[in-house]
Amino acid sequence: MPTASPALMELAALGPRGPYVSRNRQLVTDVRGGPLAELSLVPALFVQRAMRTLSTAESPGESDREAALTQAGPLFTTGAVGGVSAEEYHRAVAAASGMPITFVRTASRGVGDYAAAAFDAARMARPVGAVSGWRDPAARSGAAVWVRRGDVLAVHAPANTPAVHAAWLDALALGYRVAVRPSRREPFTPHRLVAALRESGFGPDQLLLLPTDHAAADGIIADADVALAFGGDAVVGKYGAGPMVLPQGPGRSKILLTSGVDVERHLDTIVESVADQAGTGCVNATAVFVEGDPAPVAEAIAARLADAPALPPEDERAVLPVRAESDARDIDEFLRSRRGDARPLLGDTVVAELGDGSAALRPAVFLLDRADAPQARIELGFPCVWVAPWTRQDGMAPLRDTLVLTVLGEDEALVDRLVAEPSIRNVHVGDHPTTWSRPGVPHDGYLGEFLMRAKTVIRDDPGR
Amino acid sequence: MTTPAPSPLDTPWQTPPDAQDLVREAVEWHFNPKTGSRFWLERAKTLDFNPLTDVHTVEDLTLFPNVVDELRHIPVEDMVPQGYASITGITARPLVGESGGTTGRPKRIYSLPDVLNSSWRWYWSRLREHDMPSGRNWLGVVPMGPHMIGTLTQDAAAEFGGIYFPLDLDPRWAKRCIASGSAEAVKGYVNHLVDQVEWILTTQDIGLIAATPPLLQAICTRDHLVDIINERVHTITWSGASMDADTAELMATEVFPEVNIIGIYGSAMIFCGIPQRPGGGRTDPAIFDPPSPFSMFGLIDPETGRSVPYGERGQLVSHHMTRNLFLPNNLERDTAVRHEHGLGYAGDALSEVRPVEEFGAAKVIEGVY
Repeated sequence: MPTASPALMELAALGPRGPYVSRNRQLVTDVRGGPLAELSLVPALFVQRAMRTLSTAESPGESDREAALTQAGPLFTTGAVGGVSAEEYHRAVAAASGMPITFVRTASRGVGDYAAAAFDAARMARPVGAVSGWRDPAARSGAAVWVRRGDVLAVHAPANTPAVHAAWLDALALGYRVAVRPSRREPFTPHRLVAALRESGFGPDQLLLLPTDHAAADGIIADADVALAFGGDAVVGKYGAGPMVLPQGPGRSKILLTSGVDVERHLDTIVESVADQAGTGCVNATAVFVEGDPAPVAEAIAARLADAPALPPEDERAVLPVRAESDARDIDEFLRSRRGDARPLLGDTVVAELGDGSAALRPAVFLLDRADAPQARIELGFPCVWVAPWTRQDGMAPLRDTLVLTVLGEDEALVDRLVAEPSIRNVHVGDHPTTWSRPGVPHDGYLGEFLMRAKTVIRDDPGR
Repeated sequence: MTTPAPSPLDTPWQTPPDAQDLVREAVEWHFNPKTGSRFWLERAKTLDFNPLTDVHTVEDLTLFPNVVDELRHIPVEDMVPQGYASITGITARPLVGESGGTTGRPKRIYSLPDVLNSSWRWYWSRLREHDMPSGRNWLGVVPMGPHMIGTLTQDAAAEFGGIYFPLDLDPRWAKRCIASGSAEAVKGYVNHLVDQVEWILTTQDIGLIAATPPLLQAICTRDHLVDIINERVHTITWSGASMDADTAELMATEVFPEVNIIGIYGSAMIFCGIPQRPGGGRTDPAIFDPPSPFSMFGLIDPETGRSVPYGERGQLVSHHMTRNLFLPNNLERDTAVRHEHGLGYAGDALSEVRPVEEFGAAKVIEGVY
């Protein structure tokens, strides 16, 4: 007798009149191809009408926003949201995205913590000369007032890690209404986050979850005032020129070891940068530059990563990401076709079949012979790192286009140059992995720099 | 002396002949060297069967190759059966119509008044089953030019006693803007069209709107137009593209809850417009019963060529047979859900039409997102 399959989770769209279940539903599967959930996809007409509701709504006041965010954080992290416990949610994310469950827990706790802190964190972006509202007494003698550039933010969200959803919480804190288009591969995190925020006080006319197919997706951005779009170089190319869309492109995070640094002393920092969160993030290091001989560094990294076990994502001991076997083979093939003359110290093949239709992606460590090797720019969603030599003559060029750069070594003049380099967005000096962050420090600049601007207000003093 | 019964080819579409009789007559007309078109007489020489002796049933129509791609280039004169030379009373020259042009150069067909009138009369008779008001003015947000839907709508307005307000609408230009990836150009063109809709809706007493689904949706972006439509418009027909069931439900329940909404399915390759089956609930998907046996549908599994079960989705095959045209066994790019013909005629009815899903997109591998 066949065993009854567990009931599918139903993921409704979260529209302006509450949950919306469409006829056009997409099956969300786990990495083994098994069914997990049915996601309602909304048609373009629904998007159009929902976005109009967002643009005509009024945002709640500051104290209500603060209260709702503060309440939603712990609810998201540990509570039952829409009847789904935190553990059920973690298992669904692990199964769908292939991210190991312990990392799912850490990443989603990070999102909950960020929500609880977002109200204050978002204000870190305010220029020191600006006040937060025109009623501030400073405006009587003329002051900068920090105001929104628009009212509605659209988010095209990715699936790589729950952590990315911390990115748009600042917007709610600052009084934006927000529409999130979830990834169809991992819709669980944004669904839970939007539902938790709604349960905590944000009205259905403040915050939407609009799962769509590709055709309707552009409408979400077109009907918003400003947008955040995650994606690769193609997304950056599509939206990069416009002032209203902030593309969140590849991270290409890096580590630089300067001359004479003892790699063994910093190996924890390096390995954590590469492999924490199973290498799924834009903050994971994809290249390590070594002033001196890179081979011993590459060998040391490879030795540390070699024993990572290949396990299903739900296993408590899992540390590597898992994909459908065919996807894993595509990634392996891609890597082979692009690695060129790089020497594989680990990851001659990265596919570790789990025998159930899925495969873990084993770490890959490649040694390059020059700093400007193009392979160093290849970023993949698992621990995959390119180790290359670097000299002062190579200069800044190989270090550019970097979300986070961790520099190991004591050279203040170099740190000056790294901090000054515009295309390096964050610099960690010393034993701080590229993956380090906390609420209140910018990720890729403050989101507030994009969402807000200062305008002058001067008014009569009502006392006179 | 008795008058001979009219040929099945000349039977009004509302009182259709037996399908097999029509197949026999159509083959005899289109492949007889005295009456057939230059196109089919030449094309028949390349077939490995003889249509005159080997084609007797609807099933046999699947022996024919799909020739519709050839309609992109053959001269229209070559499509007209030579037998028309001996038919008195038809003096009009062929009226040319074209397909939408989604799949490359448009496919070109023609009609003469005998068939055009049969098709149009059938369309009106099916519309009358839908509580259509007479004497109200029509706004046509549908393409004119080579697209037969414009003429069909204009003639329907006249038949129902309304003044027709047409619009210039070029769907091929819109498709070209979409294909070029220029969202701004698409938006600009759509706004230009909705402006024209607005000028008519705000100054004229419009009781019926015929629109394509994308433009109907664009009209919905302007609240005051939605209000005017809800106040004054009795009926909206949509046609020219598919409308997914979720969108149709939103239109019927949220946007235009009081308006009579009728879906129309049609294409140049079947030379007719098919109003949806009457009597369904407002949120039920529209089902389309074709004017069998002149235009017939099959919904098949393209791998086996066999019909899919009722209620399941298959790829659309159409057969079209009139004195004007013989277009059998045309495998379309659309899929639809298969239903029994509502009037018990030959072939299938269909619902929830949508294009065959394309899997051509390149895999995205690089990156963490």
